[in-house]
Amino acid sequence: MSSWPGRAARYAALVVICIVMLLPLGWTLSTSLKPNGEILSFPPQWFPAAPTLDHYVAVLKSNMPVYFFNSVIVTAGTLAVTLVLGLHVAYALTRYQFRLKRVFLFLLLLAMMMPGVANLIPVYLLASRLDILDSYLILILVYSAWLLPTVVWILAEFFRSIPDNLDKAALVDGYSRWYAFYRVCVPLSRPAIAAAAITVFVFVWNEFIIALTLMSSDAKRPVQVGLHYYLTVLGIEWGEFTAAVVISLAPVVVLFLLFQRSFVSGMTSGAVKG
Amino acid sequence: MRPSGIRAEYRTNGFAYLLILPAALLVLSVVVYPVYFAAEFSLHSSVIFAPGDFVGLDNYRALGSTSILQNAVASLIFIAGSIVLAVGAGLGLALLLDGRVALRTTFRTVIFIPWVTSQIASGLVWRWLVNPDYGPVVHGLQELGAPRVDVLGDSALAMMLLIFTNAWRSVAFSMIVILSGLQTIPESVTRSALIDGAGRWRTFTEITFPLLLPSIFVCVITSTFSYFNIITIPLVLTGGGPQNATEIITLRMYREAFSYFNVGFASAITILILAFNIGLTFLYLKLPGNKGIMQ
Repeated sequence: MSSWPGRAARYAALVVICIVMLLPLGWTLSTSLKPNGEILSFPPQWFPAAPTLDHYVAVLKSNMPVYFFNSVIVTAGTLAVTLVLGLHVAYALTRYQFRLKRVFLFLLLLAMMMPGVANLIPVYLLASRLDILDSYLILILVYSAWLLPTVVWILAEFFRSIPDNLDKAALVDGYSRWYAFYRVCVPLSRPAIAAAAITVFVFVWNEFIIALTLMSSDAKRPVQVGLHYYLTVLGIEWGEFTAAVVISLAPVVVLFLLFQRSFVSGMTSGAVKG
Repeated sequence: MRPSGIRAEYRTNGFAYLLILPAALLVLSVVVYPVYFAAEFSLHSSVIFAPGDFVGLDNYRALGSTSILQNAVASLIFIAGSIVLAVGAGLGLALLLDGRVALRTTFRTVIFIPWVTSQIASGLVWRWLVNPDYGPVVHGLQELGAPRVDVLGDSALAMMLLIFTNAWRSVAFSMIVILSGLQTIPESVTRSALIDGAGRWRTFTEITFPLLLPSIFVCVITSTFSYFNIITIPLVLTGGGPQNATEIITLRMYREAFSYFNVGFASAITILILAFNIGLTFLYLKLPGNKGIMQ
């Protein structure tokens, strides 16, 4: 592809694709800055004539901060559960052989492949039987079961790359198996933990349908469900809705930009090796 | 550590079981156990969320109805269309970004933006972009000479928009998997084919593409799972319309349960969907690259 027409065609294609990829975000940003009178103007304008932050102010005065807080709690809870359980599982899988290993792996695979949605009604029925609908707990449990396998693949792949004489040396020196795990293996696996964490964060923060189903009270709603109610309760209030979208997107995009490499490595280790 | 004798081995196993116990409990209680409720409900008529009379397999017989068949066909079109578009475009993007490309990271980052955007935000904004009255995309196409179209009012166009939006959202995944597949192909292999006069196209079809097939398979299977289990995008983008043309089977399940409160019937659909997922999981394990996952 060294000929210049070839190179020009390549860049032209990439630029066009990038414009399509950014179109909705661009429109969202632009709308969030338009005063109400401009939003549904015809013909549609890509740039606000008189930009204003009114919609952002309105969103901050609405329930959005509460939804934001709920999302933070649920995301943090899921991160804690999946990382703690995932580290133990990945260590067991890469360092020990045990009889039920294949059964357990199949179970994990199933949990990953039935991403909450297929299991939506069963989980709803379980939660209503246990009377834990509309609680952070049920949402954290469902998300954790769904994302745990992904965390395990990411961490296990990394653990395989740590030579096991390192933890064996700790054992020979008379330290316990727990010490070998917590003090030798875990500290070494920080990059993999970061990759797993950013992956979990993005999925949990963005999840909508499970949260919509399991959370019914306004006080417990996470961000994405909050976005949905913006539309139905207030009619189509596009200015505030787009401002809320921008605010809800900000943490994900910032973290993604900061930890892009971790995120991409998490994606490929989850996908290529299973 | 070298296990000496049965006792040591037993202790080793015991430690491993201790490590996996909490995770196993979580998955069993949140993923496996609840299926029992759905199975039970699927055999009963339902009064909102309480089981009613035992009806045997009636709910399953209803799965053979024409409307469910239509939902299944819609799912099939949606999944197949999304895979062709997303994996095809992912392959194209991977090839465009392979090698020394200026601004490569920037391009990649931009392509990832839709992937980290929530499905609800994407669905709602695309819905607006194609609005026939004030949507900028329809307007822009009109400026270029296209007729004014009501995308969401036309069955075929609505399905195409649904497929497009889904591929737009997820193309980054295929791109990155295929790109990492591309990087495992040594440059010397393709270069020597070129030197031998194979030509760029033949080098691609006879060397690069066959070597990429494992990565492409991974994309196809993983995407099948993820597209099969989508509800949010059709729910907010097309609402299943017009005339249920985009009501895929998962959306139907959701509505039967949470809009019409036919929980018994919805549970029967759930069991069908679960069976399909389990079947796919076995298929996935048969793929050449995935032997390692079960070791």
